[in-house]
Amino acid sequence: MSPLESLVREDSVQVSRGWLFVAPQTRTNGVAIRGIVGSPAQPTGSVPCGESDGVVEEEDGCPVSGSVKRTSPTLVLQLADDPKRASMVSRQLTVLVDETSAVSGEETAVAHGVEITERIHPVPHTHLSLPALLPTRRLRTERSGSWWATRLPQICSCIFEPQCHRLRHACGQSSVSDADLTCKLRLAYCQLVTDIFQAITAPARRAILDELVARDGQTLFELCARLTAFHEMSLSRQAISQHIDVLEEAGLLRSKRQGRYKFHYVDTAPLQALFARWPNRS
Amino acid sequence: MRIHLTSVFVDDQAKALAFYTEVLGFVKKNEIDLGGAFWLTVVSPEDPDGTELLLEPSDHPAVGPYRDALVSDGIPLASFAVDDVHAEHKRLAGAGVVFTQKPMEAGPVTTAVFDDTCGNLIQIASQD
Repeated sequence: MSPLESLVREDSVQVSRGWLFVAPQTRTNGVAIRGIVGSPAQPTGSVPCGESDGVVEEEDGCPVSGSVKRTSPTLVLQLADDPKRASMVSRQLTVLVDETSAVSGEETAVAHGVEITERIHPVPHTHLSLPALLPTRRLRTERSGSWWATRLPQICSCIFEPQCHRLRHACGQSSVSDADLTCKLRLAYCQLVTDIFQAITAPARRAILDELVARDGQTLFELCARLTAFHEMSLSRQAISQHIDVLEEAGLLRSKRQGRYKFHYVDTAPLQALFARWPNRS
Repeated sequence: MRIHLTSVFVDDQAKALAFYTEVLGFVKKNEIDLGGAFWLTVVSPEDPDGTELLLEPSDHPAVGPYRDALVSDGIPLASFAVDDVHAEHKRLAGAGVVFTQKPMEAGPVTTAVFDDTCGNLIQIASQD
């Protein structure tokens, strides 16, 4: 069972590495959330707000923020006292564990006695959750995990002018003005997010996912050939490349450079969030 | 009008000749010393008087970025006809050739793409 699944089913989750974020909408439930957020990789200074041990806080307009437990080698998030409510909330929680921030500190984590049992992939939520908004795949591939970790406090304090251009570039929206990006997180980022539904709206993007499921790890050339051959889509290579970018920003696809080649891989992990949100009731 | 010669840029002509003849199975047609570089062509043994492939030095500064961009997107620079792509894939992969696209059947055509070790991706294709 993955940490995300255990979170959905239980009242607490413990993961051995990475960052843990809680989505803003949990605040509106009026349920107190307490817990400890720490990181084996960077035990201090990189969690959104506050650096002392203690309780997870809420801030207006910001996601529920974490505090650092310096000595904890694990991430622990516990929900409210009332088990019923906690259970309810847990189903609505958006939790993202960003593996990249921990990768750079993997050796540190191991030195702390942390057993790394699995790599945890971000699960962007369909709501306006911070994780879904901020760390686009492309940002991660261009920048190391430590870049992301060190910038996170700035971003979460809603002061992110330095990131404007990069974010805009990453999201492919040149029309967004700086003014749009200096307001509160949920307002600013909601215009930039590529959510999972948008990502799978276009038939071409679904076709790309279909072909990657049929054979994972394809070059752009092969994907183009398959769309033409099997889906009768006469799209330009540039158009397909842009579709791939959208899928990548939604976390459904990842591209990996291998020497001089670049291959594309499907990642269905974000789709699991849909099942978690709307469990089978039939 | 017909095509009698086409070319691929190669990093190293001697290495390219070895790969195109010993691994792929072409035969050398011309090797003319041009002072440092060679006019170096190979042909298919199945068609010795047919289209020649020129193995051209890649020292022009534009060649590097051009080929890197193509290789990154998996785009082949030339396409050769074979009787059976699956069999060729098996044979070449066995000889250590790296494929960026394994055999893919699209209707009557089967294609695959491999790295020629000289800086290019090459497609092989067969038709039913």
